[in-house]
Amino acid sequence: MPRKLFETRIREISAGAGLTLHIVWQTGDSDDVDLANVLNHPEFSRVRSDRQFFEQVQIGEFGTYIFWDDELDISGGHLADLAKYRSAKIFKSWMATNNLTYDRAAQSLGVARRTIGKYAGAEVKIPKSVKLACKAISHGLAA
Amino acid sequence: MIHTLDHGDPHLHVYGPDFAYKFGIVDGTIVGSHGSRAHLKPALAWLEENCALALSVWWKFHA
Repeated sequence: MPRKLFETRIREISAGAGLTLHIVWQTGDSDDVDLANVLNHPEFSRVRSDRQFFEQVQIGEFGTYIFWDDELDISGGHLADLAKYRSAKIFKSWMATNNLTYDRAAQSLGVARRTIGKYAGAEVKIPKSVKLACKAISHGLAA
Repeated sequence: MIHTLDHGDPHLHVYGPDFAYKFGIVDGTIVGSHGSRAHLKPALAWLEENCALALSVWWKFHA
């Protein structure tokens, strides 16, 4: 079975602070996705304003989407995109904090410069190993 | 399936345990396909017959 298929499929979901959802994907990876800026549709007003209702979020068939009721749902693909944008933002902030150029970041993480561009541009999902390496570098545990 | 909160051009998703397809509603283009392609043809045939219905559902939520 292709890994790609499961990158957008949800295994577990739980409500976090505010309008954040903690998602565990079927690949085993996990993300926190903040829905504050995307639940603008009037249909979602109850999800925004009723905390108890927000916490009742459920996982749809095959883990392909989440839903609150019959007409309030979000696809796993859309959530995965939101997670990707968030990771890219954090990654760019990590580069700035550590004063890293694309070349230096590539060198530090042992990946191609082009790959750094893809991480920063939210073109690809940033692997867990890279996120951990970023944390290690921030803590002075790696060159 | 057409999701309430989604982005991009009008499209629908077809899911199964081992496959996922994404089709453009207006022209039936295959936007994405992962896993088994065994259900691709029948899914496209359904869309061809129900294009107007699918489009009306899309615009109900994404006007």
